[in-house]
Amino acid sequence: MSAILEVRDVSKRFGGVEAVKNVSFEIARGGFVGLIGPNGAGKTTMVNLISKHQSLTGGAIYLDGEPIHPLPVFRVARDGISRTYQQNRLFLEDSVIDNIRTGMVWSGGTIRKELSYPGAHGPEDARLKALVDFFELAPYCNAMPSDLSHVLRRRAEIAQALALAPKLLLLDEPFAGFSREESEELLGLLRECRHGGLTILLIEHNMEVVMQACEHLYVMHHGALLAAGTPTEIKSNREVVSVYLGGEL
Amino acid sequence: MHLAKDRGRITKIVLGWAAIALVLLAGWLCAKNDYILRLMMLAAVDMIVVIPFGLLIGHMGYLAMGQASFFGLGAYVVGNLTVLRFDMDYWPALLAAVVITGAVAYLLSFPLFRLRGYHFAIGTLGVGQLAYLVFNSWTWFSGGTFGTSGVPPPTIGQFEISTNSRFYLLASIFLLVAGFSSWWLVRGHVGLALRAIRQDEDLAAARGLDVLRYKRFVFVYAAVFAGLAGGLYAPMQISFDPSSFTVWSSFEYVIYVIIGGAGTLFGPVVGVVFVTVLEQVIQGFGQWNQMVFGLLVVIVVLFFRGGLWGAIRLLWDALLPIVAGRQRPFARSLKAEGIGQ
Repeated sequence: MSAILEVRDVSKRFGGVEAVKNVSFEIARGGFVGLIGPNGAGKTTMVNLISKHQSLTGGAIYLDGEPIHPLPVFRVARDGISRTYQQNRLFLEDSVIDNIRTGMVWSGGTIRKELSYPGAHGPEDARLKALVDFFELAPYCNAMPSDLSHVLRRRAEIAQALALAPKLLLLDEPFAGFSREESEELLGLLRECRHGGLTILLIEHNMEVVMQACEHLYVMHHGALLAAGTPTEIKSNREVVSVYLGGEL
Repeated sequence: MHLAKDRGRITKIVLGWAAIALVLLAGWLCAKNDYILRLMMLAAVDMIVVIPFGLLIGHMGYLAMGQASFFGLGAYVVGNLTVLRFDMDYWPALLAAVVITGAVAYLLSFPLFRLRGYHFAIGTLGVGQLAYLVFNSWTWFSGGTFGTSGVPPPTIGQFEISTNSRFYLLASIFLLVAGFSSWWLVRGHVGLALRAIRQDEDLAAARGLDVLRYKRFVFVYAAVFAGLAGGLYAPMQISFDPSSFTVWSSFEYVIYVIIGGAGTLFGPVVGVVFVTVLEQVIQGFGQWNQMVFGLLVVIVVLFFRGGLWGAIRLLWDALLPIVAGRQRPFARSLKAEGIGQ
């Protein structure tokens, strides 16, 4: 399967600190890939570099073979990379429905026929309805984000990110603060999206979810790529276990 | 069904703006005193500046503290082209003032929008002070500290706009243009974008919004109307000099917006009316008038966080509970589609 995202020798330096060191990896189209590592490993910085929230110090990033690292944030988003944040981010003065709609309005009504997850294409209002129904947000459409529970806010944020009809969704610790049941529900929804052609890069500390969801993992440590492989391979990688997992799973 | 609904909506809009035009006309008919007319004329000019300026600092959340520089630039371009160095007619000079102000604002937007928050405010403050120094020193352009005198009145055929009364009507026409265009921008996608930029511009960019383009657009839009207002102001005065375009003048525009209600369309208008009336009322306090003015401004800011327009709306909502139940435009349109019920 062809790679949808290629990260080549990417580095990021903040003054004297090298947060990301010559990292290279690929994400296969339609894959559900995990990026794991201990705190401070450089995972969120990596996501910020892919979404262009931060500029690279060195290297290159390609989406569908096209370089995206020289593009501004909004172009990367319109070209097909959408993301969520470690700390839930929504427009707090706008209702849930207005929040979800923002992505559609600004992405220029992007239609990607190859994608079939809810809200991926169709007329704007139909896409909106599909996303609202899919994430079970219909009763909260006119609510403000501050009135929602953590779980619902997270769902609204993911719905907003999907409103751009992205090819690649970057999720930065979406399961943080979730119970096992809530995690399973969200995971089920994400899997459905994945079956509709969405590629997902997941950063997560909840190893149970990661091992269950992802078919391929990259492990970062001190800004460098430490290991790559299937969950089974990563679980049995001694180096990974010693620096990150702290023992057998 | 939709056609009937659209027609009803358009009728409401037309009637609303016709009512606003009538209010402006009624003000003109009621003001028989030439002094009052002059105050109204100057207030209308200030409103032309602050309504679009309100989009920048209220809706978008970018506090600009040099808006008087664009107002002054508009006035000086008209003065320079009509009387100081050239002999151009008023209307093409006004057009040139608008274009030049817009072009200068566009160029300034490149360095200024590398800044955010307090830094942007300080950057625009610097622009305001720099403009004041240029108006003071570049005698060829502005007449220096002596200023510019005798800008000829605009004419339409044989009809000369040379009295306070006529200037008020002229300013009112442009005020309607400023008000309608700002309303039209705010109610659509531009308004949604500006609100998003104010709340979290990084998130807005991540959702596909070309943030810089909107920021530039609104900055230039506000500057264009400030330049237009300056161009209208020039022939209203016997003479004007750099003291009319100081950093304090820029602060006054900010005060109008904040007192009236930042983030609202008509708040800045209320702010101008309030300050204009207040300045007349406190004249009776003699040397204490500035202190009374300052005190009242502090009281308004302290007790009416949404500005005076916010207070008016609160009162309105309390009196008419049915108004409080209305929904946001997007939510309303979605409800019509059966979403969010």
